[in-house]
Amino acid sequence: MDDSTLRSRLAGHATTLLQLSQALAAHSVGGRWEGPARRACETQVVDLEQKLFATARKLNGVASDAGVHNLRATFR
Amino acid sequence: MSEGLWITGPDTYWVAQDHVVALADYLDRLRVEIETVAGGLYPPSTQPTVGTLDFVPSVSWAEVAAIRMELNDLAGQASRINHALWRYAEQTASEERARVATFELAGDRLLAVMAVSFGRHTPAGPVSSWGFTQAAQSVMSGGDTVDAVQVSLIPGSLSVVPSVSLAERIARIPRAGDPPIRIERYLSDTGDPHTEVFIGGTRYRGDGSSSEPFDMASNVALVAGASAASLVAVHRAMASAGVTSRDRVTFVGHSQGGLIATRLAESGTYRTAGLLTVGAPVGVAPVAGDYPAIHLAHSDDLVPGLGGHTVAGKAIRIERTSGSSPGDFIGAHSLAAYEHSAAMADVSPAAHRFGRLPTATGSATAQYFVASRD
Repeated sequence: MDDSTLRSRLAGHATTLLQLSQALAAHSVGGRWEGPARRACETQVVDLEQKLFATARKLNGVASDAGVHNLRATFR
Repeated sequence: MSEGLWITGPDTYWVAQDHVVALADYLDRLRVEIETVAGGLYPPSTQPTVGTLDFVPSVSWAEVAAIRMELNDLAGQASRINHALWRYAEQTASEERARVATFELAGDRLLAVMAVSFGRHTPAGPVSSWGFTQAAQSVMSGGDTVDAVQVSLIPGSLSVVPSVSLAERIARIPRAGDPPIRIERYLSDTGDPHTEVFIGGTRYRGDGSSSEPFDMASNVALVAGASAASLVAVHRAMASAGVTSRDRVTFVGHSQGGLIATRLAESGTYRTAGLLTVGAPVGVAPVAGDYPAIHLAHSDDLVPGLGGHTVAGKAIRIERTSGSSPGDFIGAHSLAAYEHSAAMADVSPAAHRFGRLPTATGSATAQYFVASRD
């Protein structure tokens, strides 16, 4: 394995995390379920999605610093 | 009830809207995926499968390690939300069970007492054990009777390919005016027979005095757990179509046909491979067998409620409002409305929870049967 492969692998992980966060965003807590428990759950899902996105971005940053797998455009 | 599908899991252990179920299931998968990614964020030299590095990596492993820890936290968060959603679904199920016990069971008992007062038969057991079944038994003319029924195959043939989706199956249920029983018998390349039986609903609102077996007398008898002319008719049609104990059979029925389908699926007479009922009064006919079983019901359809309180079983129950105008009970019970709901269920994000009905292979001829009392 060389440095490029290593970065490529990390970039791949970042892409996976990005896709996971996008898929999570496509889900919904809504519906007839009401009350504080639902709102708390909804808040946590949004929070998780945002953190996942931020982490994916961070990992991509680590991987693409040398420009081997620059996915920055994807994350804008 | 809002748009969307409400799903009741086996044994009424959980109740939730389909997108909530889908989210909960996704969170579980998400946790696994995040853990997998986190597991891959170690320096290659610490991963035996990758081998040692022969270069100095330019990435900052301190940063990667921090990301790994973040991911482990996120996996934990996904797991906590998943558990919260299932707690909600179980709580909803618990409320549903309480509602059934408080209202439906009490209603059934009251109905049973009234029916016995006017009926010709007093059920065995104390009043406290009476329910919808006993009510139906008491208004029957004398318990189980052997129904003399004749079935006839309608001449003509219609080549068909196996149905796959729920909506496709509902489209094949005979409509009012069609012969009430449709049988498709498929033979695979290896000669393994698979039969799909489609059963229509009540044809005659009368009490059994006509020659029509799919009548109200059969409805009452089926709810009472007794033999019924329509049940016998389907059984005989299956024999006439050559269905044997070797056949894997999927039963599909609407309204009374759904109750017949459930009774036959649970009879032990056939190798039941699947069951789909729509708008059927199956409350007191729980599914105990080990096969995929789905009850689709509209919350504004009155007919499913005519089967008495819901006894928990292994079937998945899918419920939604029909979309018909308020008070349009006929529209809510119609096969057209159920076909639309089934199409929604087919593309539901929680469809993987419904249990897949087996799909036959090969082609077959659809056989239609009519039936009449002797």
